[in-house]
Amino acid sequence: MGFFSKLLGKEDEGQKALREAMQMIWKIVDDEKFQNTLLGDEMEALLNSAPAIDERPDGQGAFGLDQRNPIPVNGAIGELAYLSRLETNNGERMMFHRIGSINTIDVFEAVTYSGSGWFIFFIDLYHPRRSRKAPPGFRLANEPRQFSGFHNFCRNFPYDFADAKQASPEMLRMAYIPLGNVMPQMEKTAFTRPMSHKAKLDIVISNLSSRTDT
Amino acid sequence: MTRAICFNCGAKKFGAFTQCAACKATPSSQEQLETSMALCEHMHSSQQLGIFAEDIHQHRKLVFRPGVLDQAREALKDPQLVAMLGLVVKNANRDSPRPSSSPPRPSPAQAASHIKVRRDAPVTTDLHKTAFAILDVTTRDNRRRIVEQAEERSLSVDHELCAKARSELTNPRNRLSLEVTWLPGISPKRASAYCTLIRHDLDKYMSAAENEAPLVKSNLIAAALELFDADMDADDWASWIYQLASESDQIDAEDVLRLVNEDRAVAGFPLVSGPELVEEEVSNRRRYYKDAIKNAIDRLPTKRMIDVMTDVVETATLSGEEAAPLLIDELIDSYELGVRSFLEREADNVEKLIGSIRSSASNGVRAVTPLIDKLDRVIRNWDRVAQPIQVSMKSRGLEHDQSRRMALDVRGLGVDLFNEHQMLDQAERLTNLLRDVFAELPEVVNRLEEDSVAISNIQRDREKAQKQANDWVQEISFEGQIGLVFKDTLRISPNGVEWKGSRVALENVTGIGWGATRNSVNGIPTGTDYFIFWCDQHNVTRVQLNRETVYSTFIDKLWKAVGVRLLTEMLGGLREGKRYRFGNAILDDFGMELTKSHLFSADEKIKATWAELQIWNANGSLHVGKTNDKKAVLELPYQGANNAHVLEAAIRTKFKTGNPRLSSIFDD
Repeated sequence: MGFFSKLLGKEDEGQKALREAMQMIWKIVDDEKFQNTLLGDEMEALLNSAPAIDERPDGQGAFGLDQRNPIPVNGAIGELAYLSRLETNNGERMMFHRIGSINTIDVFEAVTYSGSGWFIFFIDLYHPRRSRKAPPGFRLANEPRQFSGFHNFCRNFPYDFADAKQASPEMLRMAYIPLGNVMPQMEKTAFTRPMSHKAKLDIVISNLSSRTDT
Repeated sequence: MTRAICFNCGAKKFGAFTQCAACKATPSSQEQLETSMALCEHMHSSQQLGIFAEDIHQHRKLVFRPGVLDQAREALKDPQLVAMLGLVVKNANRDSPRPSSSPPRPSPAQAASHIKVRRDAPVTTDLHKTAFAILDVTTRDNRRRIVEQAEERSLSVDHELCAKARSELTNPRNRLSLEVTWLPGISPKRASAYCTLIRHDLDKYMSAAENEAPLVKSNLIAAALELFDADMDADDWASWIYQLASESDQIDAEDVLRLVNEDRAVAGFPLVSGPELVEEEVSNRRRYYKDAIKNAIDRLPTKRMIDVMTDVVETATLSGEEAAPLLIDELIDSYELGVRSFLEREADNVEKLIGSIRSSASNGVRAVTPLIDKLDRVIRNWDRVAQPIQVSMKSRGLEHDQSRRMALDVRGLGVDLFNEHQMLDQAERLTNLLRDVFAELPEVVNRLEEDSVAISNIQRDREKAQKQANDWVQEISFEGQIGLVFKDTLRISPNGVEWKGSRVALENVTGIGWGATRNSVNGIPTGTDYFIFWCDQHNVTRVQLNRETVYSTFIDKLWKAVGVRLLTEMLGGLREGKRYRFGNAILDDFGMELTKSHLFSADEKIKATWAELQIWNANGSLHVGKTNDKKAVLELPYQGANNAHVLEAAIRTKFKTGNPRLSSIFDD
C-alpha cells in the first residue's frame, strides 16, 4: 500500500483490490467448482457426470504411482492444485510437469525442491473433484498451496521453471509460487535424475499415447 | 528416448526394458533386467553399446566394468520401477510370441505353451490327494461343514480316506500341515478351478499359476510336474524346475502364517500362534518339492535327464557365477549320489588309460595317438555326466574333487609326454581337452592357462629356432663351378666344405684363409688369381680360381660357417688363459709376444700389450708390430697363414672397443 494512496483516501480500494486478488488466487488453487467453470461448459459437464471419488474402486497397484490406479482430480487445474498440495512424508514440496498421457491418464514427473526425490504420478483428470487421498509415501498439505508445476512438458525440467511460468495463461500465472521462492533452489541445487528414475521415464515414455515434447 | 540394445540379440532399440522388435524378447528375469539396464546409454556410450552388440552377436560373455551391474541392481530395487516392469513384461507376454532364441531364464508364461502332457498321466495329482480336495472343502469352511462334507463324500469316495481327511482337517495341529500343502490365501472358487484346470488344460493352469504367491505357485508347479511328458524339451523341463526352486526360496513363513490365520479366523479354528510352526511345515514342503522334481526327472531317459540337470543348474547359477536356490543345490547333491558309481567306474577307466599311454609313450606318437583318442572320448563322456555337479560346486565356491583329481592326472600325463618324450602336440591336445572339459574348476583352469602359455612359448621358440636354422642354412650354402673345360665343384653347406669331391665337415675345420694376387706383365694387368684354403687336423685343401664373384661369395659363406666359430672359440680360449701361436708370435688375452730378429745374435722375445701394438696390411700379409719398435713385427701372409683373417677381425674389433682384453670384445 503506497503512501499516496493513504493520503488520497484510496486505502480501502487498494485493500479491496488486494483482497479480491487474494480471493481469486484462493479460488484458482482450491475451489474445485470454480476451477471446473474455467474449463468450459462441455468439459465441466463431462467432469460432473463422473463420480466424485478419492480412489478408483477398480484401481490396481500403488495409488497414484501405478497407471492402473491413477489419482482422480478435476481437470487440468485440478491436477495443478492436487500436485502443488502434495508433499513427501518428510514435508518436502515438489515441482512438477506433465510428460504426456497414456490414453486418458496424464503422467507427471515431479522432483522435490531439494532434488533428493524424483517421482512419476498418474492422474485421471475426468472427475468433478480432486482426491483427498495421497499416494503411499506422500501426504496432502492442509492448506491450499500456490502452484509449483505445469500442465505442459518442460524440456529442461526443473531449470526452466521461470520460462514455463511466463508461458502460462495470465490468470493462472498469479496463482503460482513466486519465483523468488523457487530460483534460489535452482541456483544451489544440482537436479540429476537417478538411474531408477531414468528407467521409469523410459518405460512411461514408451507407453505414452500422446506427448507434448514432439 | 534412450538408446539401448537387446540383451538377447544385440539389436538396437529404444528404452532399456522395451520389447525388441527384432527378436521379440522382453527382459523379465532379474538378470535380464540388470543386463538390459546396463545395455542402455544411461550407463554406456553409443560406441560401447556397439561393442556389446558385437559381443552378443558373437555369443561372447558380456563383461561390464566393475560396479555397473551393482548400479543396475540398485536401481531395480525402486518399487515403482519394479511395478512398472511387471506391467511391461505382462504386456509383452500378452502381445507377442516367444522370442526367437530363449533368454537364459524364460518366464513360465513363455514356457507354458510348450507343456506336453504325458499319455499315461495319472487321473489324480498330489493336488487332488490333499484333504481339502478329497472332501471338496475350502480353508474357510468351518468344522460343521467339514463333517457334513466328509459324510457326503463317503458315499462316492473311500470312506476311510474321508474319515482321515475329516479328522486331520478338524484337528488344529494337524490342519496346519494340510493348509501349507493346499493353496492358502486364494479363493475357494479359484482353488476349485485349479483342480479342474490341471486335468484339462495344463497350459492355462500354469499360466494362471504365474500370478500366485510363492507357496501356492510352488504347490501348483510341483503338482503339475508329474504330468509332464518325458519328451518335452529339456529347456522347458529346466525352466519349470528352476521356477519351482526359485519360488520355493521365496516362501516367507510370516506371509503364510498371515494367510492361514485369515482363513482360520473365518473358519472358526484357533489361530496358529507363531511362524515357527509354519517354518517347520515349509521345510517339509521344500523336501516334498525336491522329491517331486526327482520323481519327475527319474522318468526321463538318462541322456535327457543329464541335459535337464545341466540346463537347470546352468540357468539357476548363471553358469556357476551366482548361488542357486537351495532346492537346486539339494537336487544336485541327490544327483551326485545317483551318478557316483558311474563316475567312479569311468574315473578308473581314465586312470587305466593314462597308465597305458605312459607305458606306450616310449614307442612314439603312433602308439600313443589312438589311446589319447580313447581317453578324449571317455573324459568327455564323463564330463557330460559330471557337468551339473561341477557347475553347482563352482557356484558354491567349491571344486568337484573327483573332477579336480582327474584333471590333474591328465595334466600330469601331458607334462610327462612333453618333458620325457618331447610330444608337444599331444601335450597341447590334452591341455585343450582339459580346458574344454574342466572350465568349472578354477585351480585347474589356472594351471592349464600356465601350461598353455608355456607350451605356446616352447612352440614359438622351436619355430624361431627352426627358422634361424633354415636361415643359417640358406646363408652359408653355396655352390660354384670352377674351371674352363673340366669343371670342378666348390661347395659349402651345413654338411661341410667340399672341393673336388673331398669334403671336410664344418666342425672339423681348424683353419681358414684366403687372398688374391694381381698379375701384370710390364705393368699391364693380366688378371687376378684368388686363393682359398681350409684345413682340418690332417689336411689342407687349397683352391685357386679367377672368378671374383665366386671367390667373394664363397669367402663370405666360409666366414659365416667357420670363421665366426673359430673366432668365438679363440676368444673363449683366451678368456680361459690359453695362448695361441701365429707364425713366430704368441697370442694371449692381454697382448702378443713378438719375436725380434737380430742379425748377429739370437732372436729376442718382446712382450707387448694391446696398447703398445698396431696392425696393418702390406704385401698380401697381416702385420702386427710394436708401436715404437720397428723390428718387433709379426707378418702373416693371408694366402698361407692359418686364421690370419680371424686374428685380424679380433684385433681390429678390440681396438674399436678399447677394452684391455681381447676376449672382452663381445662383452658389449
